Amino acid sequence: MAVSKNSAKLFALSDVSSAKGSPEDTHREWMLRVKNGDRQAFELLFEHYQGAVVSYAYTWVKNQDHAEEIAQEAFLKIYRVRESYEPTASFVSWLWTIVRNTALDFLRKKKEFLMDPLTHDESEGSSGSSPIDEIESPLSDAEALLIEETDRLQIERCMGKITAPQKEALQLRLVSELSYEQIAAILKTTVSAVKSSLNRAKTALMECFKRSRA
Amino acid sequence: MKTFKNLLQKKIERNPSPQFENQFWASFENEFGKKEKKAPSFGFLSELQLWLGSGALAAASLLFVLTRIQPSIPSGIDFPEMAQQPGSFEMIAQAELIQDYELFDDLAEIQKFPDRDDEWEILTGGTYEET
Repeated sequence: MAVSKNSAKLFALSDVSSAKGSPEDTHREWMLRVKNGDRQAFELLFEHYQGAVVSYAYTWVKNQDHAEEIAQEAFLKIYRVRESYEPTASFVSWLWTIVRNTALDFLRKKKEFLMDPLTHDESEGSSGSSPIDEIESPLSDAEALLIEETDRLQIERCMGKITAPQKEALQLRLVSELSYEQIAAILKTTVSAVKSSLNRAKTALMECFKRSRA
Repeated sequence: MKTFKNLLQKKIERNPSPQFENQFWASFENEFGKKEKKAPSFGFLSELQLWLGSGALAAASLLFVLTRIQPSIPSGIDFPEMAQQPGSFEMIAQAELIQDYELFDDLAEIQKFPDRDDEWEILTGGTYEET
């Protein structure tokens, strides 16, 4: 899937390990070229990921200038540590881990930690009476209308009410369009825990949207 | 298909500001130095210049060869003998001047810019290679 410069969308990759010739492979090759000092390859990576990185950073700080500051620092960091890159893991997971750590550093420095401490709820992975991929399932017309009519501010308010792991999993899936495997790698948890978090987040958000409309 | 994911995604996406890219590259160059300029490539103009340069070099080589083959002074005139004659140095200078004129006459045909590849081959003594 081609990603435009200003698009926040990445690509969903269900199985990174078997994705020969995929965008993931291409980007890994670009990063290997960056590792060897190829600035042109770095420009390609920057062009491709800048929108997604800014969007992801925004989910942490809720401020456009700060989000761009984090994105800028994350890209500089990627170039600084380019020689340490090993193509064994998913490139996107590696990149997002750097962006995430940069955002956390920024928040620590600014003392503007808007999220709860990122401790994972142990029960996240154990529940699951609801369909595991419900976040990707079609919505009813009433549900779709509910989301369409909910404005950005209300969404942000409701996002503030779900747990930190749920919120982070949701942002990685919605904003960065990462696969469950990639999200699990970044959050250092299991794929089933990620799916469970997403389902719980969806349920909590829909409830919050309904209450906001009532 | 309207899913929770794609509907909410549209609502929470953010794009970088128009100045983000410039600001980033300014910081990048500040830390890692400016990007090295690319080596000049042989565009059409450079290629033409290359051809003209080769032509001039070939003509100069031919001129050099011709001047070496033809005697620089009229045959049969001995230097010590000429030196004893009045106005002999002027004669030598005149002879060289005439010879130069003759040489230019000979080159008049060659100075036309070659049209065909085989003409280049003649001028460059078979060393011309098509690029």
